[in-house]
Amino acid sequence: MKPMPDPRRFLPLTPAVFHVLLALAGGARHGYGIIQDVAAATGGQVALRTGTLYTILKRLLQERLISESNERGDAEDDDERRRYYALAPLGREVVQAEARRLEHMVTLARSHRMLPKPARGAGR
Amino acid sequence: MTAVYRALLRMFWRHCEPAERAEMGHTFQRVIADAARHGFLSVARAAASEYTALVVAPLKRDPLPEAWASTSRSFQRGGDMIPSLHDWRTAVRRAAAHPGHSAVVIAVLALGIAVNTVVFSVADSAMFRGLPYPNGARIHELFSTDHAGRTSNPGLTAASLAEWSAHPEIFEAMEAFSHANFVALGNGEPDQIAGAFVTPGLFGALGVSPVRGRLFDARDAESGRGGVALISAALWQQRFGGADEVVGRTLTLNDLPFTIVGVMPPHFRFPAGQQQVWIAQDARQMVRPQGMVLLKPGLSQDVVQQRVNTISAALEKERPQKEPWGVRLMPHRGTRLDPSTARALEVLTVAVLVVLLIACANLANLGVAQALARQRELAVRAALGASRWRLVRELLAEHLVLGAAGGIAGLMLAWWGVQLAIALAPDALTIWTANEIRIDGRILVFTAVATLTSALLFGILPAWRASRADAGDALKSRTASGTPHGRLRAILVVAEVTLSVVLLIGAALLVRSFTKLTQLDPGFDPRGLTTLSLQVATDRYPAAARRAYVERIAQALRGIPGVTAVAASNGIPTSGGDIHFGRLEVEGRETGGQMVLPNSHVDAAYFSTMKIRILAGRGFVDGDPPEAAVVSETLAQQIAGGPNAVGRRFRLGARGDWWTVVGVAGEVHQSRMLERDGSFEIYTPLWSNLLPGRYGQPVVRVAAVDSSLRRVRADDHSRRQVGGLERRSVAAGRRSPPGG
Repeated sequence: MKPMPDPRRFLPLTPAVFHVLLALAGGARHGYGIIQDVAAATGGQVALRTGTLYTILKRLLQERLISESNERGDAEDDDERRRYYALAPLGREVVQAEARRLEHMVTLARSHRMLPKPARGAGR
Repeated sequence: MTAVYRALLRMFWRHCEPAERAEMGHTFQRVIADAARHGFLSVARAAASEYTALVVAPLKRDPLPEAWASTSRSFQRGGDMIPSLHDWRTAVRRAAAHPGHSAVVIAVLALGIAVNTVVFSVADSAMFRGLPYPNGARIHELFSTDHAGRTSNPGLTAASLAEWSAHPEIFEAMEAFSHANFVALGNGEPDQIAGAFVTPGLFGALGVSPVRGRLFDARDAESGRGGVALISAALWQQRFGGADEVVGRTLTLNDLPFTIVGVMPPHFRFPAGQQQVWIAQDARQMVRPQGMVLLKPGLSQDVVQQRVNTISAALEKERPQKEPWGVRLMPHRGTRLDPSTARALEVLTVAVLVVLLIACANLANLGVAQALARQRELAVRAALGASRWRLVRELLAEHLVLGAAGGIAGLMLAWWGVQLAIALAPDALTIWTANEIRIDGRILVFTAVATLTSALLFGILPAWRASRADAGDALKSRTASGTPHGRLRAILVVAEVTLSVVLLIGAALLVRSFTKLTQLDPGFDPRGLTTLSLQVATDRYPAAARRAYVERIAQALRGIPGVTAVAASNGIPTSGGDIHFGRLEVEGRETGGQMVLPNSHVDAAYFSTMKIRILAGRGFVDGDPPEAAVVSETLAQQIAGGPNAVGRRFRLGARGDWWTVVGVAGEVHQSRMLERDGSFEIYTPLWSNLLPGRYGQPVVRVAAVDSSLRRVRADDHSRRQVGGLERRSVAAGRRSPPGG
């Protein structure tokens, strides 16, 4: 087995990729589920389009950041034809690395008084 | 909607497995179903951005850019959408390296674009553009309406004119004009000039300004003062050589002196295409003046029309008069376009667009062939890491460079073509426009769009297909017969052939119409026929003098070797003399239907000179009374219900004069040569119908000469003869009837 590549190689992530990885952090999803999750998490601010999403998924699969999953979702939302995607260990490390990078940026901004004190480093 | 999505998927996502594509289609359906809960608008929005994402996403920058060193071929650094300077340079170099190919592309494109630009600039000025006056949109003409509210007559009565002048709350200005024809004298030959009487404020209301001198002012129309005139720029050049001191000089029209106060701009046309001189006159002195109003700013035509209707309804109750008070507003159109000419222009616009499409299809085909030849090169580059978008971009830049060159060449050709089109344009009777026909900003935009669209049309397909070539296949195959290209070219050829067939059919139909026109029996014999147009100032010469005068001219013409016959009338076929309207009433019979009846006054020699057949009865003889009439075959049918109409009496309208049929003549196609139905026509004796002349109205318009006159240089000769008789009040112009 090949050694896992350095997750920092992939940074910085585009907002769309970051959102997709975050959505998968909650468990395996199918394509439409990811779109819904991202929309819900961002209050509709980020609307992923099918074409964009699948371009990203294809690349993430290639780079082994995610994998196709056999895990099935809720019974009522399940569909035989669906492909499910799950976060791979490398993907988890990449999204964590990105989050840390962003956190660092936020801390930096705060130290320059660009942000008020009590804030959580969420979102991007 | 999903079908479109699936089609796009098949086109742009061929690198994916069918199962993946099915999955995407499914997701799309769910997204749309979701949007449907928020109404139609959000469905449309979602669908639009889904389609866009589908096409754009594979071309975009890799979503994981820093990982570019890894294996993927289809997602390596894409770069920007816009070709770089390097791409342009390469494109120009490549175009220069293949001069043959480039020359063909540029020439084909230049021709296609030039033809489109020329036709569009004519169509634009004649059909699409508004009036070229600052107040253009507010200028309307007033038409009298009959009791049923139908437009009856363009002219206004004096009462109506006075009434509508007193409504400043809807009309900012109320002006009037009437057409006139003049015989101009001066340093050269006497000339017929079309002109118009206008109220002094009219041109100010239009918002035009003269290029020399001034417009009329209110005192110009006062009686007792000498007449003043504005002249066209063309007349200025022609009669005064464009001299600066033209203002203040005198122009003699119908033997009356008029002082020139100004020169109108070169492309000023009012009220129609051929007017060269405008005389200030009070509306009350005009014969059936046509009203022209300037609506108050902010009022629409509908609003004003409604108020006009209310006012005229009230007037109808208070002060009923013989002619109804009602008027209809119509926007003044600075264009005259025969319906058939308009249709021809529309057809032409579409036809040249089709030609451009065919040109694009041809060029696309050429592009595919060229890309095929480069397939191996492109495949190798792709294998070495060039992204598809990069290759597309480069090929596209090449096509755009060629397209731009073609566009510029086309524009130069078009500039010349527009001059040619103006020179070849039919006379002002079928088409004229107040808009100058020229290449301006609008036309440039049109040309730029046409060029860009063409370049993309013929460039993007081959570029896209070429960039998809699989490296392995391309390198393996030594022959240049890749199946995808084969199919694409087949589609292009089919499209070309289809478009060409459409054009061919159109062209064949046109040729057939033309052949029919040439074979059509016009009802008279145009061979060897030459017409001269004479204008005699009727206010100066009594009828007897005019007759003596025309007969002296006729005598002089008969003396020219080769002239076999000379006749006079006040109208010739395709442009008749007078026109009567009314309900046909035949003595001893029920009244017939409403009709429009052209009436030419002709002399005794007319029928034999024109070779119009007399089917029954006789033609005219000297001394026929004014009520004697020769009627056309179809009119005879209407009158008598059969062929024998000779001796019957009829009139138009209850107050019309009675006519007695003395003969029946063969059909002459008066206006529309292609119309198959017979036309009503009445001929009356010329000399007994000389009416008390109206100012400037021509009495004898035409002398028909059956001869080999042209061979003896009719123009010079007859002009000399005519001029020798009396030059001061005769203008002669030569016209040929169609087909002659």
